[in-house]
Amino acid sequence: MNPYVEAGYTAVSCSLGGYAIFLGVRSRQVRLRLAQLRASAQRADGSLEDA
Amino acid sequence: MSRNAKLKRGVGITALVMIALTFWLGLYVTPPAEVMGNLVRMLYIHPPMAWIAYLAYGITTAASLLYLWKRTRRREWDLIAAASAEAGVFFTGLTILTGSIWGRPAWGVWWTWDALLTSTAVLFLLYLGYLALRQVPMSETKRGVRSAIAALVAFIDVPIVHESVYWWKTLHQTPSVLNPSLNVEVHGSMAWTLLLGFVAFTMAYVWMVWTRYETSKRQAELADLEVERAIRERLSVEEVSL
Amino acid sequence: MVRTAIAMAKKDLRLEWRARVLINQVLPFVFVVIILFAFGFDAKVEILGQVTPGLFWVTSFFGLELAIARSVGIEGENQAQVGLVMMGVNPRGMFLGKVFAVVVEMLALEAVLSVGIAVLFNTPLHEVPLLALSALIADIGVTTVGIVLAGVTEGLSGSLLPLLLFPVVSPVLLSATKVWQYGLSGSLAKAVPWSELLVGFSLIYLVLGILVYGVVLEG
Repeated sequence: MNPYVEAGYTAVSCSLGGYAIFLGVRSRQVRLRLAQLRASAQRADGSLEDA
Repeated sequence: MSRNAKLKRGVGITALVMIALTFWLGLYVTPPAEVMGNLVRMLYIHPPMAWIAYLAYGITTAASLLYLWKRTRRREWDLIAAASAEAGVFFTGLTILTGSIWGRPAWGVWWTWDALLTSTAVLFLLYLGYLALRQVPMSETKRGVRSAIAALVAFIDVPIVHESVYWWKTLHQTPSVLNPSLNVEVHGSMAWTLLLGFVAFTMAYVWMVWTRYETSKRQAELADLEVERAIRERLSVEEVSL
Repeated sequence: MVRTAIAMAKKDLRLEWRARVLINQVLPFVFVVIILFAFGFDAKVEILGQVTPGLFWVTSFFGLELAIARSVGIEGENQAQVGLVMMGVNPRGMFLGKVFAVVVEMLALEAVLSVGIAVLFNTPLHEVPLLALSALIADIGVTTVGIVLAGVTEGLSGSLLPLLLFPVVSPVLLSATKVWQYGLSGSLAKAVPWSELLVGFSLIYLVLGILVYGVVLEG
């Protein structure tokens, strides 16, 4: 196979993969953090009601 | 998992499978071209990248317009515009990269100041500026309006840049990209592979924008919640001290 | 609208006349750029003569960028712009006034710059009316977009404006460079299509600026 073609396909797959992983990890981080905050907010509301 | 999340995962997996299929067809199944030989295989990845870059900028413009128009102004449009521009810059970068890798064996240079290449480079810079503007901290509405204007100016500029650079480079010499000897007759399995490539990368683009949009929407929510929490903590501290 | 524009232009020009930012800072800076180019090209007069049109416009772009940033910056001081918007001053008039003031300032600067280049790079100036006219039109093109984008980046870091502005106005700079190239070499016929292109681009930017500036003020 032509080395340029190989380089081209490798570059495209690495960039696409890299960007997708970056997006996925970021999305997961934000999702977890949001769930955490929401839970603590609910707890705070609950404790206020108890008081 | 919500229906939305399932649908998004479906799009992502379809994109992955289709890209793998495109690569397999492009690298192993399709025949090498008569003049260009195996180099023709770049054809299956380079044009789809360019197409998606344009698609992405089109969507950024549409979303920016919807944001600027007061009756349809919503945070969502701004976030979609941003997500799409980011994907656009990414694919423009890949267009330039794959074009460069094609150019080296085809014309003997990595880069030439040809009309198409120059205008693509300017396009890349235009939206890089847009993304840089978005990175600066400011209030949400301010950022929304300002970046929408920048997106609008950039989009109107695309044909102007193209026209001027085309004139600049073609008034006295023939453009090297349109060199007739490099024109490829696309037929049979090649056409199908190319078509599949377009669809596959478009799916990947949809997944990217979707994920990016959801993340930034959650980030905005997160910021709101954090402000709330800070206020609450402040209040409880004051209560204790009272 | 016209009255607002005249008032605005008068105000900006008077402010410039009193503060002398252009003469004291921008003009010396522009000459710094010229000397840098001379260093960059090893002070070879043959090369410098060939690339004079391009160098002139690159240098002018730097000057324009500074003048535009200054023009929009003064509106940010003491919240002057907020006051104007509150008073319901016609945004189109404001826009045209600001553009007019910057273009006048730049023409003055470019006149000095072109003489400087002619002497330092040993390039005799031919077809001065054509050069001046194309400079006027190109300045209008760059300034209209510049005022809009400077409004967009107002109050943010200073390095954003050139990044946003340069790619957008590159067609104008390109056409102006071409007109200057043919103007300086005396081949007027070749300069005609580029002049037309230049007029077209600047007109588009002018109309775009007039339409968009109201929204910029809102942001």
